[in-house]
Amino acid sequence: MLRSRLQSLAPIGRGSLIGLFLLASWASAEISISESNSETDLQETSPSQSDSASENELEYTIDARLEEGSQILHCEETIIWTNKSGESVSDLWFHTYLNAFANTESTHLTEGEGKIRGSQIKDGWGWMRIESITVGDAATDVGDTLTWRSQDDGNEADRTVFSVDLPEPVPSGSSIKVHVEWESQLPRVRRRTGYKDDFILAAQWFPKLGVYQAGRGWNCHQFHLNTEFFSDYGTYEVTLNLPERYEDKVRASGVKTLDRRVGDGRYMVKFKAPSDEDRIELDRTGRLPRLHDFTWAADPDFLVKEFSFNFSDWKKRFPGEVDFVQGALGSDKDLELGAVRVTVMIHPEREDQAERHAEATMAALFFYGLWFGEYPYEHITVVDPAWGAGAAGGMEYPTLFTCGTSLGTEPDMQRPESVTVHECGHQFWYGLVGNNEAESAWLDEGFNSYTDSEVLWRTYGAQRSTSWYSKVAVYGVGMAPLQGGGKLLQGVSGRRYEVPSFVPLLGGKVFEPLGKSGLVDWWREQPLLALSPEETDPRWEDRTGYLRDSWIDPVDRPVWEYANSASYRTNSYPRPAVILRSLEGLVNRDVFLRGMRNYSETWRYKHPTPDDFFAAFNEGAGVDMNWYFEELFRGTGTVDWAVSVNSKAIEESRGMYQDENGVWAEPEEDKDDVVGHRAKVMVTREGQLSLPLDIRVTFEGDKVENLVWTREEQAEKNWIKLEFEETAKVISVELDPEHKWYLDQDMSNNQWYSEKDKVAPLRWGERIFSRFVHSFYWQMGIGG
Amino acid sequence: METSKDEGRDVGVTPMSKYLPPGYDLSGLEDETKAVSWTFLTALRVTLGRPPLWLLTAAAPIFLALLMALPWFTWLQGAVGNHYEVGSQLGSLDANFRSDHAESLGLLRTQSGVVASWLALLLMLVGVFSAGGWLQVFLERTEGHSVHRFFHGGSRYFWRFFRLALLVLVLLALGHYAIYKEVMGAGVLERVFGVEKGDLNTLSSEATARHYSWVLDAGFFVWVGLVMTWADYSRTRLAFLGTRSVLWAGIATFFTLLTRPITAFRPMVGLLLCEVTLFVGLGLVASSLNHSFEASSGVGTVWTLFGISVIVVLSRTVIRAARYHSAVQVTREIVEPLGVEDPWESSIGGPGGPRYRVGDEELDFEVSI
Repeated sequence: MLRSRLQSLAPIGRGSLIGLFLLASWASAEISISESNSETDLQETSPSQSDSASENELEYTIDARLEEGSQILHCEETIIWTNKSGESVSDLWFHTYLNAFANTESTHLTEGEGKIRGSQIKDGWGWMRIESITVGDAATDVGDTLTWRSQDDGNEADRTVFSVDLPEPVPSGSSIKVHVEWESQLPRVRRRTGYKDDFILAAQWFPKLGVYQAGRGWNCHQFHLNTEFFSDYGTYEVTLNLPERYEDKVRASGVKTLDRRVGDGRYMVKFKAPSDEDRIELDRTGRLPRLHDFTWAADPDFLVKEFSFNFSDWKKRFPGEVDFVQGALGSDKDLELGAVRVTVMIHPEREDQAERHAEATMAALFFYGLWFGEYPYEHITVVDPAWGAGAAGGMEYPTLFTCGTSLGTEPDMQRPESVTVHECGHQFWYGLVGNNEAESAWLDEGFNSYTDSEVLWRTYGAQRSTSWYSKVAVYGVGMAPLQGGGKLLQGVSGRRYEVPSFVPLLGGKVFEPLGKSGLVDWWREQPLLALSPEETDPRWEDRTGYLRDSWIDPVDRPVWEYANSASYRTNSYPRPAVILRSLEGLVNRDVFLRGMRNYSETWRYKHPTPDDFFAAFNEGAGVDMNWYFEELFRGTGTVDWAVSVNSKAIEESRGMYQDENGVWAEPEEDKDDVVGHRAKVMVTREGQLSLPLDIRVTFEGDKVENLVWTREEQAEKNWIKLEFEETAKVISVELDPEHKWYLDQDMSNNQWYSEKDKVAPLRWGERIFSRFVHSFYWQMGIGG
Repeated sequence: METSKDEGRDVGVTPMSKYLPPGYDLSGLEDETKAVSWTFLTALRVTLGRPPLWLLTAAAPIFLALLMALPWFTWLQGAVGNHYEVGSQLGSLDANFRSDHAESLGLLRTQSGVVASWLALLLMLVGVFSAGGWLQVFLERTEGHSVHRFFHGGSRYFWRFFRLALLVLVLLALGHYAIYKEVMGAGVLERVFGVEKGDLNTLSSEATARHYSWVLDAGFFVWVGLVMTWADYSRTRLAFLGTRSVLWAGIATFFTLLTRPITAFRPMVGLLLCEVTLFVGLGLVASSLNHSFEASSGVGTVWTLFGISVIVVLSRTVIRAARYHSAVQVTREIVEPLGVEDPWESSIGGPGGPRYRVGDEELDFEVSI
């Protein structure tokens, strides 16, 4: 821990202020470390404690066999774990994630009230059975010391973490060999793992060591409903023995090094992750690439499509962006990105989407790589899950990820592009920068949400919304519902009737005379005539998500401590994205890029905490943004600025005036002459956050006045009054005219224009009319 | 009692005729049965010739939709006001607009949904009424006072057609239940096609799942079409024969349709094609205008879109009425009028003069008095 901190401090010296600040933050981190040293119970530890020192080394060698007609993997693994924590370690803790799907008493399903993604789990259970576990060259059996752990919630029925005691402690700097034999029953596809018919996504399928951290012990959380994963970096050699029909239809993390038929209808395939070449070649940060998980996917029906990512092609496509990044990071920065082989595993009926997956993947490799450093592996695999296995979709694993789509989509719907870009983006935020996804999910999900929106916007532009009729998409949305909810309203409109339970035979049955039915809905709603176009800039979509639950929890907290799933989603995905985008607006994009790049490169193949991010960003950007990080990531403050304008013409003064002779007379000038304009502008701030605010006042004739309402001024008063007396009329007043503050709770009151938009209300009023008139006409036809 | 020997058939047996108010002009009416193969075109021509009626009928959904749009328009005036640059919200209400006004929009949507549900009920009743109106007008085969007769018919048949509308809902519910739940869903899909529990997600192919769902959707669409056609003929039969039993009329219509499907469905299919051509054609124009809306598009485009929607509704109203006209023509062709006993069958008397029953002394006496 300390070593790592000092490493991150080493480049300091650019400025005394920065140095002082970092020293202070380092000192505070030290205090928290020394406090945590006294704590041995993992439950008591806090994620804000700096636990990033872990750079233990791992080597996994796994053999697995899947019998025909079965979903049980018979496996054994040998793990060589090198303790580099600086402490002696006397036990080993493992994740057995599949046990989350063993029964409804697991922590995962308890938290979900027996449901995963809205579906009640009644069958298709998954589990892991440890058959034997030995350690050391002497293969000392430690199975009898196996203890199930439930340190997060005390749920004794949960079997997602276990520990074994070692015969003797492993001193720091030493290695230990562990051999485990076990069975994994894959569940019916659940939360991004499992099988459906012949499709297999084997994720979290092997006993995986937790992360030992100095001062904290084993960081090995149970598998909660909304948590993801955390493990050390290492290497994997995995041999799979499968039924022959999977021949060449299997891909995994890393690259395939060997595959052949082995007789008896069997097929054997071996993977190395990272590949031999990747293991020995330093990446552009001077480190050896490693990865922290291993996943494989197989389906005899897969089409395997190969593509190639070349930096030069994309550089030609986005030369301005490359120039900008070069300018921001310095001309000596090598921005070149290595070639990557992209494999898309897709089903034949979606074959025409393979290229779109590849394109989206390459867009992510290009932009993420350009901004945050190169993807260091030679290969990446995109898996499009089988139909009906959607629960396996949209998940990141190192050098392999799953996406998801449906037939009949177009690129401007950004389906599947948005998911593909997001999951590929996780190769960087999660894959390369390996934060703890359980304790600080926002460090990868939030960062990735920010980045994927930027990539989507640059590559595809705005996303067009669609409505679906009989699984066919039509552009546009219905602005208003055609009927209300609730039994009464559904009944009066003929949509749905539920027969009371006391009625014999039919009791409880639901009848829907005018119920949902694709083609009839199309006929009734007349989408060509009645839908409204809706386009969404993906960057602003993040703000939409943020506003849903922007106050209930601070961002920085463990996933299971959020108030509810909605809070988890908001605080892990859109809110950090909005905070980062606002930060970009605050410090300017080039500074922001430098900060993010530094964080990304400093913490590559490591486990950063939020504090590590703050420090690395400040260091890279050369600014002290701790006040911002504290307020935004650890507070729940919000802000809403508003402007109101009172603009009036100043007319020539009127009345009787005395001339030199003392005679009262009315001036001869034109009495209606307007001599100028007076605009009284009132800007207010509501909420606890005070952030510097740009104000732009535009006058007729293109005169523009730019002002800044500083944080200090806002701290003094929640309002500011401005008055302009000019010959030209004020035609607009805009707060945050560059739209930097994605955080603003209500942006509708940030602008004032002297000219009203009279067409827009008519335009959308007409859409409402059309929406209803066709439906009403149809409804009339039911009567006669 | 009027007879129309010129037309080659005795309409005097039509029960409708006894409701004819005095003064209606029956001259100039052609024999509509001559052009039965082009029934739907005749129907369109005849319906189009009665603009007050289709304007009146279409006014209901148009007026109520305007009513729905009014609060939105008012709210939008306030929400957009001076807060957005002119033209910035025309192509699409942007993500920030939608987020910033999410609460108000949510409230508007909820309220719209509530009102729309009740209006849907009201419009079904308007439909019940208008069906009676159209049938009254078409069955009488007179001209003039059409609005008056329309209202007369609407009120006259209202309760009969209301009961029929309930029957329509029951049939649609059964169809939906059968297609999406028990019969097709859990039954045919599982037993015939091996789809586990009728859940399309259990299939191995999305395309197959898509095709199954198309089959289900098409099945329900056809069912709705059949029920609507059956209902139109049932209403026509009720009015044509002057009977009151909806159930009996429905059953009889079912068998009529079964025995004369081509005659019965041909004009309906013709009108359906007209309708589809109309709204797909205009829909494509509207969609193109709608999706290319820009800051510079201006109010003219808004009115064009509004006009297209109104034209579509008016045209569909004409087509809807033409269905009744076609149904009347076909019903006249294939449904035997009820045999009504004629008390004057055994009577004598010169044309235009008094008639005297033969063999009825008492009556003769009274008449002679």
